Amino acid sequence: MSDLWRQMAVARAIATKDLRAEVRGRQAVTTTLFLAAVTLLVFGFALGPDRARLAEAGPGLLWLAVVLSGVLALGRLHQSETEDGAFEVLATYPVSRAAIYAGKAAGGVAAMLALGAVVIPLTVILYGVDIGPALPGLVVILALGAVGLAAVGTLYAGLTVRLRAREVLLPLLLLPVVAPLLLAAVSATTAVLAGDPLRELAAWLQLLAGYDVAMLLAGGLTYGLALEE
Amino acid sequence: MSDLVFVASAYGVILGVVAVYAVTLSRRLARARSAMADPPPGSASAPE
Amino acid sequence: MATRVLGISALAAITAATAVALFVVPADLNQGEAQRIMYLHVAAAWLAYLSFGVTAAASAWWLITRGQRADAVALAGAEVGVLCTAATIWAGMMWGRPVWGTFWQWEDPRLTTTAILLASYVGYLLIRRLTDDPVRRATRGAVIGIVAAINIPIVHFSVVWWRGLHQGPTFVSPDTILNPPAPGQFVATLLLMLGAFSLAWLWLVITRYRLARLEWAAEDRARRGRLVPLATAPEAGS
Repeated sequence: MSDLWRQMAVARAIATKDLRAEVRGRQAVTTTLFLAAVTLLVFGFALGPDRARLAEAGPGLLWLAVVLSGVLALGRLHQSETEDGAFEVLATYPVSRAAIYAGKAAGGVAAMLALGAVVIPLTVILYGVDIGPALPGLVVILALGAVGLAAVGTLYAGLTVRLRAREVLLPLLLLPVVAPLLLAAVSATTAVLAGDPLRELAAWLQLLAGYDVAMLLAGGLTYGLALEE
Repeated sequence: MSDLVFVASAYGVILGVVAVYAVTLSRRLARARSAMADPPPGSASAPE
Repeated sequence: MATRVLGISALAAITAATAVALFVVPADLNQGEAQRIMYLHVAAAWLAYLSFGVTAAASAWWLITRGQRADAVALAGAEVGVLCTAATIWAGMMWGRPVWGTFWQWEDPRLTTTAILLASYVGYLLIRRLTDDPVRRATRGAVIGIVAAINIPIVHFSVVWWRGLHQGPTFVSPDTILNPPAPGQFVATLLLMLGAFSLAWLWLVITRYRLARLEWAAEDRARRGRLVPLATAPEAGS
């Protein structure tokens, strides 16, 4: 039991370190928040000005902004490690790889949640999407999506962080894997905003949850391989 | 009859690409084998 | 050599199957001549997913044993798999244009899932190409390959769901040849095509595997900077 506490302490330490560095001006993730906002703006130029069309596309654009900016954020969460050589040092610690993964992934979840917190209000403002009573449902969908994105994104970021072409390779690898999450999140968001007329929301949430579990397992089991190089 | 264009395009392209790939693989394999058999010029003497 | 026989049989079988599919078996009453493409499409799809399974299994095998043979199988499966997947999509598009009226359909789980499959293969080959160290290359590829394998059924499932909820107009799928079962000669032609291309698939995978083994050995030799005794190099054909 004490071993489990130690693992959790390690994970928490890693997550706090990332958060502290971010607050102290590392700006790895915060810049992607601005990117997400600009992305939503530019989507408006591409699809507007018909507000009805934008409102209909709202859920899709919302999640596209989160995923596209999120992939960059998750990549940057690992890049700062390599810049100081901290990654290699991390690998030498005698702690379970899964604990390190949990810590990094927790930071990733926080980053994704922050993106959602920026994107959702902007979607309401820019596209006229009416949230109303759907907000709690939206928060749940965001939470599930955040975990899934962070789970697989942290693993892939760890795998690619030492590659020259990582800025392109990470999105290229991540987008196909994240496609079902995107599909489920957008479908769930559309459903919850419409009041779930087809009673499909539960099914999409289950798909998201299942995806999250699968990716967390995969990450927890194989992240060590990314570190060991 | 324009459907035949699609049929021809499907079979033609696919069989063509498979053929090219097969030939390319064979050549690369042959080259790799001969590179394996002959020691690179000017190398240390082979242990015998 | 056995593989030479395999190769020649594959060539002969493909010639025969193509001849039958194009000239012997009659065209479908509803879909017309375009339906002939479907023999190719279904065979390619089957082999694309088979290749993917091979790569995933070989990836797991590498992670367990770290044996170079495992990695060679994974690479061979992936490269041949890209070919099969691209062929599946191409044939699907060539069939779709005359039959559906469009080259692409978002509601067909096979087409959309196969597109994700192609993207996954390309990513797998790319991360390998960008990694110089052979062991890291194999390990990175293995993780990507396994996660992608987990993802494919999820993608398929979610698209089927998606389609089921937004029931479009009754939509024709390429494999209506099997559902409901079509006249015997259609099914027989399909099986012939599948058999022929399976032989070709086997030959391609074996050949690519051998090439991978030799390339690894050459890489190893170059890295060490000295002549590897011929006795320990993989013998031609292993």
